[in-house]
Amino acid sequence: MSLSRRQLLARTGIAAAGTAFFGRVQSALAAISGTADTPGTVAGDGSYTPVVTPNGSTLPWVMKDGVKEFHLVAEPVKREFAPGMMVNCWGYNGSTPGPTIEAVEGDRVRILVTNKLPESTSVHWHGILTPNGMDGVGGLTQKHIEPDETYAYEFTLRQHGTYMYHPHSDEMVQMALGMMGFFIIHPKGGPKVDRDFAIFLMEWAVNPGTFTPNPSIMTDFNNFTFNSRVYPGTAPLIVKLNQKVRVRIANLSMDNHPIHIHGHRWWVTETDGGQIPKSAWWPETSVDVAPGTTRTMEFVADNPGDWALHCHKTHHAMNAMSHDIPNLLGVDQDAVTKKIKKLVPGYMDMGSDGMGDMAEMQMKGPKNTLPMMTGTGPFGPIEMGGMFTVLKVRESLASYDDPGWYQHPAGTVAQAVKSVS
Amino acid sequence: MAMIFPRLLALSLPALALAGCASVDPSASFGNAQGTIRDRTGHRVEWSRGTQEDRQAEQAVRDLLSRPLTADAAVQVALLGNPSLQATFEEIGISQADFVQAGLLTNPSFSAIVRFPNVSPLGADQEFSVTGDFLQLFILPLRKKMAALQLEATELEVGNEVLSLAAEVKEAFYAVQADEQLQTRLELVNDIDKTAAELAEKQHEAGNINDLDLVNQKSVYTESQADVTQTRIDLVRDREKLNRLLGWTEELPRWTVSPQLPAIPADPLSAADLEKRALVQRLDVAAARKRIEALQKSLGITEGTRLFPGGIDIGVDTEKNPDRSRVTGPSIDVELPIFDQGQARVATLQAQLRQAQDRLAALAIDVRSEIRENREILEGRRQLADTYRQTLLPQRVSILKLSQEQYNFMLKGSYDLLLAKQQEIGAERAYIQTWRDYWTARAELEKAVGGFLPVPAAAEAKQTDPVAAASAAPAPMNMKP
Ligand SMILES: [Cu+2]
Repeated sequence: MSLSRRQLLARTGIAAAGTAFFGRVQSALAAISGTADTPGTVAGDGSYTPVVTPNGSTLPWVMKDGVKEFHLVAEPVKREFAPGMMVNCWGYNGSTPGPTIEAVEGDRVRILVTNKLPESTSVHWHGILTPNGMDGVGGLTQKHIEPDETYAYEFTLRQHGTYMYHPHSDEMVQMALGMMGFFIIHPKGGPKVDRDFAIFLMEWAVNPGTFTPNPSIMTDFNNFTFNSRVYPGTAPLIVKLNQKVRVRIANLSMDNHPIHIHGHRWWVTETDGGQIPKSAWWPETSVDVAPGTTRTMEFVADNPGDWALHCHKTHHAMNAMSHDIPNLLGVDQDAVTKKIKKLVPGYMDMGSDGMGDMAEMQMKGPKNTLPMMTGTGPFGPIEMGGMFTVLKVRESLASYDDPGWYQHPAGTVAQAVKSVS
Repeated sequence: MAMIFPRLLALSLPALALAGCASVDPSASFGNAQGTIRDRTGHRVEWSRGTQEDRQAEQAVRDLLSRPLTADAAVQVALLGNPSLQATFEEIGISQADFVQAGLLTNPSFSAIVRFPNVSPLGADQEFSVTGDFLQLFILPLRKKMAALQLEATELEVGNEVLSLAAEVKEAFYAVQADEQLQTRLELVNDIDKTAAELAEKQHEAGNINDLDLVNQKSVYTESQADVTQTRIDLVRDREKLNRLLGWTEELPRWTVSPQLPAIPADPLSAADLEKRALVQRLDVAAARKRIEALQKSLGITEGTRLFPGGIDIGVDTEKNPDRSRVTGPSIDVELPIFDQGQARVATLQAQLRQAQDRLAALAIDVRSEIRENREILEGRRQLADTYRQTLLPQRVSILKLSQEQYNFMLKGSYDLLLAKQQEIGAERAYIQTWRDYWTARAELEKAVGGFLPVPAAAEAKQTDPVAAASAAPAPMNMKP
């Protein structure tokens, strides 16, 4: 993205929307998060394939006296969900989800947590076996980390798998605003995969025309994100044909999300309880990821093409929509539309023949709001949003940059046939 | 006898001359009232008495009625054509006649007695006398002065009636004008509700809403139809009220009103000197002052003559006896003020005078209060109208626009849009009502001040078209005067 932060602010009107609540200065790492391409991973010790966090990053560390030291800064974050929508979030190190922490089983880690939020916080290491005093439950196992305080968590990693970190202090608000991150522990010298992706699920209530998620909403969410991005803001997953691919999904939202892959089936290999014995792996195309759990799937990308990967709850693969608009399906609106047009110039009828038309109409909506169905593919409007991305499997790749749309071999695309009567 | 008669005559002559110069033609008096009204309102009144002017007035009325009426034109029509006003003008005729009557001396009385004796000499005894009230020769000029004051008071009272009528006409006129504007809005609301009902009907046909939802939507439409009917009734009532004030009959052209209420002046009406001005120019105040003066005169006369309530009749009597001798001599006939010394008449007048003074004081208080009240109301309504025009209406237009943006993204439905449109019309409706109320208050204030308050031309020009430009409405308010 070539836009400067200032330009972005001007373009989206965020500057004017800033409040004291979200107006705290972000750390040097922080810019507007989500706008850049997925940055490179942090090279590990060579014993594992570094994880790619699409639209996110990996947290660097320094080695101090044999301890891997990480530094998390809890702070307000401006997150672009997709071009045209900026959200006032909270996160870590300028991003939501926070940067992915990667380590290896047996490592001793120290995580410094600095609180730059306007309220106290704490960090819980979800699924990780720590001494009780390192568990991060404010009030129960430690004091809350007050604003501007830095706490050190230190423990030895005695397991491997896909884990999470998140606050355990005013957690309803802090998680609703985007405070979460992956904590991935690689096995010492286990079998390697070629591509390892981590996708964090979250759902948000950002009223159309507003910028700040409403943490008091329990069920009526309207933005559903992969790594705090909605389609078409979600980065595609790029893999080479026949690569061994791992996808780790974590969920801290209030709903379960059946994550569905096209063109492949995957094996469920891990939960946040750890590795599943290989004999117990089970194949799926939709893996239901419950709130507060992680699921890890592995597959061989043996089917070239552009494959949808999305939550299978249909409302979750869409952007903001209303749940109480009148049902006009099959309603002959022509005469009425003419009348309404006279009363309200610029009115168009929608919904008579389904809602798909909407993706095509380039109409003006509320500010900072994405169309409910959007995206354009090589064959037309994609009519999606929310928890949707594309797995791109290619025979040859020069790099893991987006290779563009799949070039289908002749005769392999469905097409219209002369109507058979 | 030869000596006395001319003397008596000579004594009476100035009084006769005084009485003779009073004409019964009230034109001059009406002219005064006409002038006063022209000064206060800029309008012409005509007293219809079967003259050439009557036909001119009727033609003027026809001309005014054949163009869309403005408030001023309506006032002019009423001043020329209102039949009750013509009846009021006759008060001037009556007062004028009273004035003439006051200048006339009581006729002298002549008496003759012929008697026949029953002993000789048997000639007739003839007695002749002429007597006249001597006192009235002195009272007459005072009485005329009093009558003149009363005539002036009548002229002022008639002028006041004209101003009251003008205010009433204006109020009735603004009511009709607003009714017509409101009718347009309500028909639009009705149209919106009809559209919503049709949409519901289609949804119902497609199996998307239930019977309850359909009937709910249809009942909204029925209710707004009732609103339209009610406004039509209001319009008939207000139009007929104005017809009565205009003195309109079916023979006259059927009038229409100009489509817009006049623009509200941008600047507040200065409170300064309104009260002072009112006390100087209020015709009823001036009339009350004249009535007090007249009562003072009347009291003076009564006090001066209290001992001679029957007057002092002085005359000459001549009697020719049967013996042909003649006795001639003056006569005087005076009531003896033993019982009635006029104290009751004086007391009555004193009470009436005090009463008139008290009433004037009360009127002065009322005038001040009416002016304060009406000016505050006027200013309040000006500000309220301004809020509607400059703030609420643009907000409603903006709500419609923003709702449409949400509609475009399927975040709101068609009904929400129709509702937003309806609320925009609702704001227009409230604005029109306040707009009308402003002008009604202004007519009230004019009545309180006792003369028209001219609208500054510059202020009127300042009034611009605030909504039309921003409005997505198909029938936006056109604020241009
Ligand atoms: Cu979902």
